[in-house]
Amino acid sequence: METPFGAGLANILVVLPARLAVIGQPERRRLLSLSVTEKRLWLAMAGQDLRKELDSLLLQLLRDLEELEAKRVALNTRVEEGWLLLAKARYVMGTKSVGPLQYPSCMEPRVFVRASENQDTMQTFRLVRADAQTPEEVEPREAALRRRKGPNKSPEPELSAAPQDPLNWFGILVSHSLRQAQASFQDAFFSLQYCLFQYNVNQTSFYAAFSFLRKVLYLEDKPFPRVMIKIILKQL
Amino acid sequence: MAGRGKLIAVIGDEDTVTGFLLGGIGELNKNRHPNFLVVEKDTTINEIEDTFRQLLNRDDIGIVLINQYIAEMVRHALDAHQRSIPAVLEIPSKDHPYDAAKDSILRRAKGMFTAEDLR
Repeated sequence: METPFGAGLANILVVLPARLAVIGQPERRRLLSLSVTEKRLWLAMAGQDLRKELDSLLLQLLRDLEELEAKRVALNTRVEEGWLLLAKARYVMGTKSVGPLQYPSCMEPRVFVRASENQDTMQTFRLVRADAQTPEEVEPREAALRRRKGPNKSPEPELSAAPQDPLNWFGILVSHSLRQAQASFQDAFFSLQYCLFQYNVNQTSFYAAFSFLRKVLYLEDKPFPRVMIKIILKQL
Repeated sequence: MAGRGKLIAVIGDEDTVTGFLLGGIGELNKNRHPNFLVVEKDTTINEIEDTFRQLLNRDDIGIVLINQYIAEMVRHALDAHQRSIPAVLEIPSKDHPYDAAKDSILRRAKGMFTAEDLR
C-alpha cells in the first residue's frame, strides 16, 4: 500500500464519492446492479491515480473547512464588537434611542449580493454596494428624489445614487460609538462573503455522490467507514 | 432593478437586526414584505417559521442571517432547506455563543464521515 493508512481512509470517505459524482446515470445504474463481488472488483480496479486524486481532493476539503472556520471566527468577532458598540451608543444616547423604534417606514438597502455559478455548480457570492451602480440603474431613484425635494431642484446624480445612510434614522448628531458599530457590521459583511464561499464546499455534489456510494455497496445499515476499510484492504 | 443583486435578510434579536440594518441591508416598502424580523420574547415559533419559509421562497434574497438560538427553534425547517440560494448562515447572539456542533451545514459535512444521516 503506497499511501499511509490515514490517507487511504480519507480516500474512501471523500474522494470515491467525488469520483462517482462524474459518473453518468447509465453507468450508475449498471454499478447498482452488480453483485457484491463484482463491486469489490470494480473498487480494486479503481487504481492508483484514483487514490492520488482522492488524496488531493480530501486535502482541499480539509483546507477549505479550516478556512471556513477562520472566516467564521472573524465574522463572529465583528458582530460581537458591533453589539458592544451599540451598547455604548445606547449608554450615550439613551436606552430607547437605538433600536427598532427608530426604524423608518421605508428603507432602501445599500448592500446587495450577486450570486454566480461556476462549472462545478458551486455558488459564489459577491457583495455589491448600491453606489457602485451604473447611471442607467439610478434612474428610478433619481425620479423619487426629484419628487421628494420639489420640482425646482435639479437632480444631482451623485446624491440621488446613494440611498439614505441608516445612521440618519437615529438623529442628526449620533454617537461616535454608533458610527463605529456601523463600520463593524459592514466589516462583518466581508467576512460573511468569504464564509459563504467556503460553505459551498460542503454543499457540493459530495453529499449526493456519497449517498450513492453507500447504496452501491449495500452499506446503508452498516457503519460506513469500517466496512469500507475492510473491503479496500482486502484488495491490497 | 433586476441587475442590482439579491438582498440579505436577517432574523434575529433586536441588537442583531439593528446592527445589520445599520450596515445597510434593510428593505421596507409597501410593495413587499420586509427582509428582516426582530424576534422578541413574545414572538411565536410559528411566526418565525412562517417568516423563514417566506424568505426562503423569495427569489430576490441571496442570504438569510439567523441567530443560532432562533435557528434551533426552527431547526427542522433549516435542515429541510437543500438549495444553495438563499444561503442560510447562523450567527451567534449575545446570550448564546456560536456552537459549531449545532450548525446545519457543518453537521451535514460531519455526516459524510459517520454512518448516521444527521439531517
